[in-house]
Amino acid sequence: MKAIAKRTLFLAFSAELTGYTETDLEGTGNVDSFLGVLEQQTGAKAMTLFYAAAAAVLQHGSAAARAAAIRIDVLPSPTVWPMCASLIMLWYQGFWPALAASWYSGVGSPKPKGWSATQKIVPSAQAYTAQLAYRAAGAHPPGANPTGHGSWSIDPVFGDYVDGSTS
Amino acid sequence: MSAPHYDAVIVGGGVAGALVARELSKAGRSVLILEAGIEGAMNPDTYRQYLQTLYTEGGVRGMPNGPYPWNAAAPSPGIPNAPHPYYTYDTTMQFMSDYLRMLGGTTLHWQGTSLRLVPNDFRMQSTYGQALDWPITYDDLEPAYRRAEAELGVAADVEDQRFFGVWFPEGYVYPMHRMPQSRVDQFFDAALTGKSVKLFGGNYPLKVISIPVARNSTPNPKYALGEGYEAVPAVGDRDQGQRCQGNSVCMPLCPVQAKYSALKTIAVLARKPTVEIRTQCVASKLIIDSESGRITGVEYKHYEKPGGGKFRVETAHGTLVVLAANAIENATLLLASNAANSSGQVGRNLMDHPYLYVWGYSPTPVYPFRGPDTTSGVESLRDGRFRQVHASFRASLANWGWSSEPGNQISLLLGQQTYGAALRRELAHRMSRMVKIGFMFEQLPSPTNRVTIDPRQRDELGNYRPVLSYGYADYSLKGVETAVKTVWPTITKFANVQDETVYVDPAPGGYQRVTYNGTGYNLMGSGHIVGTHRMGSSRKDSVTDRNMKAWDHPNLYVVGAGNQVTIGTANPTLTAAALSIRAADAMLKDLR
Repeated sequence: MKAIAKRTLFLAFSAELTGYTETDLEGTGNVDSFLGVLEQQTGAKAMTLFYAAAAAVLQHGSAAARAAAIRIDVLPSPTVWPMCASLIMLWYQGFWPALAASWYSGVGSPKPKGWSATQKIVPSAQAYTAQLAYRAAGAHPPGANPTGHGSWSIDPVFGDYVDGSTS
Repeated sequence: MSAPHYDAVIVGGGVAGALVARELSKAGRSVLILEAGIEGAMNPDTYRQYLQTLYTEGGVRGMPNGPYPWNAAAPSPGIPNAPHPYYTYDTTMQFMSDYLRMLGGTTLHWQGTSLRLVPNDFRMQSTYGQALDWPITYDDLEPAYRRAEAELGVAADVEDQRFFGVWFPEGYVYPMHRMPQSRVDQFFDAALTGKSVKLFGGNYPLKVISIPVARNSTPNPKYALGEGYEAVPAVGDRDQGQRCQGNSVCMPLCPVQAKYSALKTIAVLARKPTVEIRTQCVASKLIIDSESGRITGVEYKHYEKPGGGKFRVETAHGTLVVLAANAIENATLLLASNAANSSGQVGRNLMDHPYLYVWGYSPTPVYPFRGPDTTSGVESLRDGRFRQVHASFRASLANWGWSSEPGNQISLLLGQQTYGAALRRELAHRMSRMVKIGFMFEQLPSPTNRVTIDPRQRDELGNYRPVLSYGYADYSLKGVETAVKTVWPTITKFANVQDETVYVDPAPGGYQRVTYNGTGYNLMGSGHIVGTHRMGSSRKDSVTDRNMKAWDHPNLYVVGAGNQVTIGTANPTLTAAALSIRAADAMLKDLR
């Protein structure tokens, strides 16, 4: 698969997994960096399975059909779902939680250099500052993107939160 | 050429040392500050590196000393990835609080809460038959509190703070208006106004009150009889930090330095010709004249490179010697020098505020994870007749949900294979309703909670590491029980909060398990290190007199939170600052 096709697939599938749009994710500036982390942490063999699952899901036009495909092709997969779970954490919290040792033996791939079971890999400061979890709640990462003096005394104003409709 | 002689040699470049130096230098006195740690955060580029570390090292988030580097020459407790812990222990119970040895000291990572003690905190023995009375009263310290509030830049409204006999002179206002209250505060305020809890036969209102903080808010034009107040911006960058902008990370550092740190005082001192600041100089021994008891010099180890390695032993000379190195380091240095200890009290009466969280979901969104970590509290349980039998406590309303990281909730949801829009929706739903209260409990002085030294326990430079003995008495634990079993259920009832509090066993990292009356609690420390060189009315049971001069040495002052006779329920920095200013007044009289 060509690099550009891989990136497109990765971005579209990330949108599916995170609930944010491709535009949202592109705007974080982290797409290439996170794709690099995924590749580096999992290896070529697992990536082939990941792209296959992504393509299987994204071929469907309707959200319901894509959700059904995820139930069939992603969630039951002992290889692909753990990759997706770590990837979702990377988007939401800005760090990649290490995959389990059993995942590597299951796939038959070597563990990446420096691997430890409790490792949290932060690819860059930007991964931290653009994390999506706080945005979901109308907030911002501690120490980054502050919302201004006194903003905490009123409801959050940015649109992402409204989409999340929590009430 | 003989070594220069200073009016005062101050050991420690934190808030206590900086304020003493400020007062002495204002009066034209010459001062040398010996700081054990590195210059570190004083340099704006280094400060930014620490922020970068906060962003990029996942493991350091949420730790008070998280981004600060290990320094083998002047080690600090609680540094992540340290090659070994700094404290050693005599007891199984750990002391959970840390401090930072670096120019600026622990104010680099403090929360900024600047409550005054209440009058009964100074007279626990005569009012409640507990502990012992201070040699000074609230009235004695009140003027110094105001001076400390000026230098620290405290934001609060006087009307909120008059409780339990805390008084202010007619017309006094704080330098800045109180911080805007968070949506969390507003929620609890609406739910608890007019409500109360029954304790020990008394009714205690659950009133939500704005907390005074040393954090830049809106200056009050009425301050200083209409002179007003100018907020102090970041050290090295006047364009930022003039207001708290809601970075939501007061600890371990404020990215824009809207929160006071001693660096702000030190930056001004550094420009004065009468003040000399030497970093990387670890005081190791006081040299004592055996006849007069005078301290004739401070021996220190000057290491060349941050982190340690080669060092030279040098001696500093001053008419006065002032220890301002934090309660644990002051005690360690006094013990190492066999100084000031005719009472046997040096190192004893180590206190902290045992800290306990309770948490739950509010019925409607309160949008936490925004603003300073806490802007309001329930202060009405800080004093009362119940102190005859158990600890007083305060309740801090947390603005950052259940923790600084929502990662646990994401892990739980991913464990259920929730992803995509459903994950986003559910996370927003949970995070926006997370409320948490931190209860902070009084601890009484105990001779067995203490700092000692052991010749076998030394750091890389050969200086003593503190050996700690520590535990919680029933007095505090009964307070814990009251908070969890009486006060918190009352709050959840009135506020319709769904209680989610669980104290898992074993306790997670950073907490320790304590069982009381069959119930297990996970306690943490507050970083409020108090009491190791207490002041007193008699040389028999205290280390210093009411002006913080050592009973045993005519030219030695020992300042900081270690002077506190009791801990009360105020976060101690403001009191330590006020005590330091009071001590400086006495020093100036000595120097006349």
